[in-house]
Amino acid sequence: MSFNLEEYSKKINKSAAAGKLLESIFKYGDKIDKDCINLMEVCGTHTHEIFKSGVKALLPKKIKLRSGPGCPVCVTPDSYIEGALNLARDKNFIITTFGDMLKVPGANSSLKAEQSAGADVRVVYSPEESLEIASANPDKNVVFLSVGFETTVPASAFLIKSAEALKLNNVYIYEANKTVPEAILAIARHPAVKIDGFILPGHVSVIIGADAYKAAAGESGIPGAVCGFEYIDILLGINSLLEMIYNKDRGIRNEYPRVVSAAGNLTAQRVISEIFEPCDAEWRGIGVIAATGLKLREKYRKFSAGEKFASVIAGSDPRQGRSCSESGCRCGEILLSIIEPPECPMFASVCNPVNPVGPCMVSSEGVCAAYYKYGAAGAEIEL
Amino acid sequence: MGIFSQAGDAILEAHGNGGKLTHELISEVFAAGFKNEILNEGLDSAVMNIGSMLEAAKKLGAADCGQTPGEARLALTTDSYVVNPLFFNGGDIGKLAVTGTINDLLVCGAVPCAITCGFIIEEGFKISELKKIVASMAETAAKNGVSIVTGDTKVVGRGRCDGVYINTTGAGLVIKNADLKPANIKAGDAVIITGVPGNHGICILNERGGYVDKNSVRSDCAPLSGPLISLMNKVKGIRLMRDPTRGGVATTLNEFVKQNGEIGIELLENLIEYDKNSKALADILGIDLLYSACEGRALIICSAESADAAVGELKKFEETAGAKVIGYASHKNKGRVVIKTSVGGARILDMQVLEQFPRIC
Repeated sequence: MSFNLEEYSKKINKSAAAGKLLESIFKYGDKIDKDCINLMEVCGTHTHEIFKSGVKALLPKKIKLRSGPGCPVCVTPDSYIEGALNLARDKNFIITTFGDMLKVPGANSSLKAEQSAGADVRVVYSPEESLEIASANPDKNVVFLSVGFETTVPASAFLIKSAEALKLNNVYIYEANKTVPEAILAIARHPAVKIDGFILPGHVSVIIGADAYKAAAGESGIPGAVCGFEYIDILLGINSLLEMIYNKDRGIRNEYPRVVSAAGNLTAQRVISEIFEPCDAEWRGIGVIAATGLKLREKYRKFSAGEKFASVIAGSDPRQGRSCSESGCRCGEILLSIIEPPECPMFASVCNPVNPVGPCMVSSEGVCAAYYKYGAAGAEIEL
Repeated sequence: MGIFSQAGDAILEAHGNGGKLTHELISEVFAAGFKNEILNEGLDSAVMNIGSMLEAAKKLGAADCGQTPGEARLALTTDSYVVNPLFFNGGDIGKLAVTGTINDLLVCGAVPCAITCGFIIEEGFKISELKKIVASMAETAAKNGVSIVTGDTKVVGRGRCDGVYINTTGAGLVIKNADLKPANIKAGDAVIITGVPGNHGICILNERGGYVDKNSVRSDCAPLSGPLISLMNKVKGIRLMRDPTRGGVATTLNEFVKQNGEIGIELLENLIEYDKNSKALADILGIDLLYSACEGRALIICSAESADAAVGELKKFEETAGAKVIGYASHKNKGRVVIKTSVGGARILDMQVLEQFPRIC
């Protein structure tokens, strides 16, 4: 089935619908007996669309949109970044990666800096591009940096399936994939985080299905709405969450049914579980969350760069320079929305897109990057 | 033809050594392609008569660039072209090199007259490809009444450049009444774009990555001599023009407000139209077309009273048929470009900081 963008756009009659939704949002805002209603989005694309569309300024003052750990690059821990840099520095390796990772600062370098210095780092749109690169470079180890939530895990899984089928023995993934539902429960339980509702990630939900969050919502008592990425989708989700908060409904609503089903994409889920099994994972700023990581199953462990090249990843020299948290970067608190980027003393001064201290400033899904790009360092817009 | 033809279809290092092969390359490829009287003199410099240039400018666009050489103002511009791939949907490096320089002259209020070109060619590059590039340059120049009057050729070893790089320098005569500079912008002035933004940048990205059918996304590469000379001749109140190449519309508008210092610019998201395919691909890749390069568009600031006349004049020409007002200059938000969004919010459209990379999801 081909996708007709024009037809798709027609389905979303923006301005009239937006007006009605905002009216309803204001009504619920008045009716809900709280001084402040905190709604958290856990998808970097939502974060950026919220800024890009200017939705925030139109909401009742008491509704706060807070950005959670929705950027997969940002939640990747320092140790992984250093490991990737060590691989890149070794002439026996070709690194393939999504573009977001390129600018992420390590203690004293980035993949972009290593690339400029001669490392073979290639941006790919699909992990499977690594296969061609591996075939063309049989004397090199090609390592794909497998970072991302459920949205991109199937693509990594297909890379492994294809590598196995093609009997390629020089292609690997460096695993750092993460899964969302358990992480949402961990955020909900975090003592410093006060959230009244979750705007749930549309892309991730296409894969895992809207029902995947039900357990977390039931256990935490915090409702969630699966949302699309047009601003009208986001307004719809906010309205839906307010309705649930008002009615003390602790469930999950799917406000993105045009692409998200209750059960999700079963084929993709099968491929993921064929190749990967759950493991504990470290999230930057949050710590280790049980069963939110994915590691290669025994049968496919031979494709694990983390295992096969552990000594290269560990590096030979003691690390020079300081990690971002050692430099005073408050990404941990920012990723949980305990503070907002402008509250970090380094934001837009020491830390900016040219000289980023932490990943949130450079990843295209990062919350500091969104504040910097669309808010120009916190300046007010005169309307 | 001498030993040139026997060397096969590949550029050799000897084609750049100043000797026999260099001369044959120049006569067989460049002189044959660009033929004009000034070039045919074969001197180390192009020697031109300012009076004849004034006459030529008058003929080209009925543009008054002054009556005597004493009244004439000369505009000079230079640019280097390193595009990869060399041939793309909507153009090639040759068309681009002439177009870019013509447009740089036009947006300064000048009628383009003459262009010089410097080639840096990688050893092994196909002469047949070079001929295609030269033919494309000659065609673009001729269509716009411009002569390619002198040039230079260097050959570098294999791997030391990406096929071919071209530098072009352009000379033009400034239209008598044209006074285009950022200081002219006043609050209330209209911001006009001559067509949908960002198509060149997204086309090149698609050519490199092969994401969608090559023919579905086309570069906007086009010289704007016809519409811009006509606009300057017929419409008063044109304050400033610039072609939004690298960094796109967002970056150029930020240059305007920063160089002016006294005003801000507000764009209305509802008014900005995009090419449907370009927009769809850009959205998929996570690229903002307002930061993507254009090679056949101009951003024009003109007085509010002239806006309708300016758009009307531009619409008469095919290459600027999509001209429209997309915003205005304002006392508010001094030094910033702000977009009022479709939903009724607003955001700042900042200058691009680093290159745009595709996102994870």
